[in-house]
Amino acid sequence: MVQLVKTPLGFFVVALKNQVVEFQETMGNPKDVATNLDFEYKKWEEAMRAKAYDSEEDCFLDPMKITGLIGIPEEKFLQASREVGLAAAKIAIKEHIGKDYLVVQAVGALDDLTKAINLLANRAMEWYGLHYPEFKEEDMEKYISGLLKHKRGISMGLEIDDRDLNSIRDYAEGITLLIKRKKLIETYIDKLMSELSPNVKALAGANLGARLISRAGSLKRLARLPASTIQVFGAEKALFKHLQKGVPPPKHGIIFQHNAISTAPKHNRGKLARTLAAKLAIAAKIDYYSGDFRQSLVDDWNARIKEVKKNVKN
Amino acid sequence: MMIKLGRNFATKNLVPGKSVYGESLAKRKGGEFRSWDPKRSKVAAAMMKGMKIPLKENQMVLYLGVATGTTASHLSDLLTKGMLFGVDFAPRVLREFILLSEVRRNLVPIMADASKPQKYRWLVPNVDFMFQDVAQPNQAQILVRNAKIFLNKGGHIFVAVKSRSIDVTKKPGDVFKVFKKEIKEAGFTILDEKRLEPFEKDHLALLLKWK
Ligand SMILES: C[S@@+](CC[C@H](N)C(=O)[O-])C[C@H]1O[C@@H](n2cnc3c(N)ncnc32)[C@H](O)[C@@H]1O
Repeated sequence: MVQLVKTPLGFFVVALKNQVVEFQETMGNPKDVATNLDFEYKKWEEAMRAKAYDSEEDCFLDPMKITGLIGIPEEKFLQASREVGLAAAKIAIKEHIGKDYLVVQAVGALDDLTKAINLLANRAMEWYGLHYPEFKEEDMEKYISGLLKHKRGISMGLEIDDRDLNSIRDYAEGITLLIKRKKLIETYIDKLMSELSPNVKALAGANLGARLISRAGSLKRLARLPASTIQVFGAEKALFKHLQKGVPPPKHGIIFQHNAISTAPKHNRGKLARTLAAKLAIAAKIDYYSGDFRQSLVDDWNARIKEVKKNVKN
Repeated sequence: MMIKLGRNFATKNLVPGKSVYGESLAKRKGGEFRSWDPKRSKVAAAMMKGMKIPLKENQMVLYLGVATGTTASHLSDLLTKGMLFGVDFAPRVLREFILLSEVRRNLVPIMADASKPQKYRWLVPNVDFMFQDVAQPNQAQILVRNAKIFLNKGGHIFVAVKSRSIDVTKKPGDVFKVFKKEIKEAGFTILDEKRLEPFEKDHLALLLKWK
């Protein structure tokens, strides 16, 4: 049985009784070493598996003792540990701080675009409606793409010539550019959320998750909020009424947008919202403090949805 | 080197001319000393209450919950031939500790969750002394896990226990009793204990020895 040992000076394969079977020195300056370490480690793990090594899951061998086995003095280990440690900590900080503010801004941009698109599309509807009142479409984005596909036809609306129609079309083209922008931002938010807040994303979806972070102001603040607050996020008015006038408290704020809640029968929504808020509170903490993905959160949440559904049937 | 400066302890400044958190500096025989504020550092508070910290200048130290490094900066003054590895999972505070580590040659910052020692074992050798100030409900568990991996036989631990972080509903005395029992069952000997009033409310400092 052998173990793979990661150290700031390189990778070791160590057999029982502390025999070094293999050693590969890490190359480059401390920053490069810190940057590449996880990747290198994975490569090593795979290589070990391919060679049918029986490696242990987590290695707890003393890295200074291991480097000592091949004659590296303690001072050299400590120096490397400090330099690589400093570089690794800086990288970790960079990765942690700031991305949530990008999410907040991106959500803001998304909302601005949605508002602008609605405003402009409304004008397009009225304008084109003069000529073709029979054409109706609830969804603005679909209306615009429909408008651009239409040929001029017989209608009870106003007769217009090419010049009139081209003006309307030019205007509508401008709107489709904004719609494309919006899609790009949605994709961007999706990616950001995977990196920054995978647990919240897994539970709430990228858009709703980003909105929660945006509401809270940052991932850090979201991570510090109790579930009860997350549950009524976006229902502040109703909450205020509850506190002032004693009407029943709101059951759910923006997390109501979650598909599993908005499609559930009314009497179940409160239950589901409570569970989701509790899971989200944990998810935000994990995302902020450790960044690991925890599948069990999603599994628990899905189990809860099933359970609530079942109780309805019975 | 440590001396008394008025009522406070003070450590010989490893980086003369620099104050870390606004503590006062004073020239004495042997160099410049930094006053160790017992209201800002639980280790200083425990020493003011009479606890002796058997830290030696050449030791390896693991500090869990190092935060911005207020306490660690004084330990760094004392560890002229040693090294201190400081773990904290909060980026905002660790940022300060990184800056401190850049100017102090015996500090290593680690951004990690102290309940996952496998994440930082690759950087940290076995140590002679552990400090823990994480203010967490599961801090006994975190302490034991880390001690098992990192602490040399006969090594020491300083741990600060804040009863409110463990259980707000129970009396501090009861919380401390449960904590001590857990720690003893895990194989630690309690060498000394001090309540930290008037410097900190409802805090207990323990000095432990590992098997
Ligand atoms: C009371 S402060 C420590 C103050 C510091 N010991 C001093 O005297 O300068 C507690 C610190 O523990 C950190 N902490 C809490 N739980 C932690 C964990 N599981 N892993 C790492 N750090 C943790 C917090 O981020 C916080 O910075």
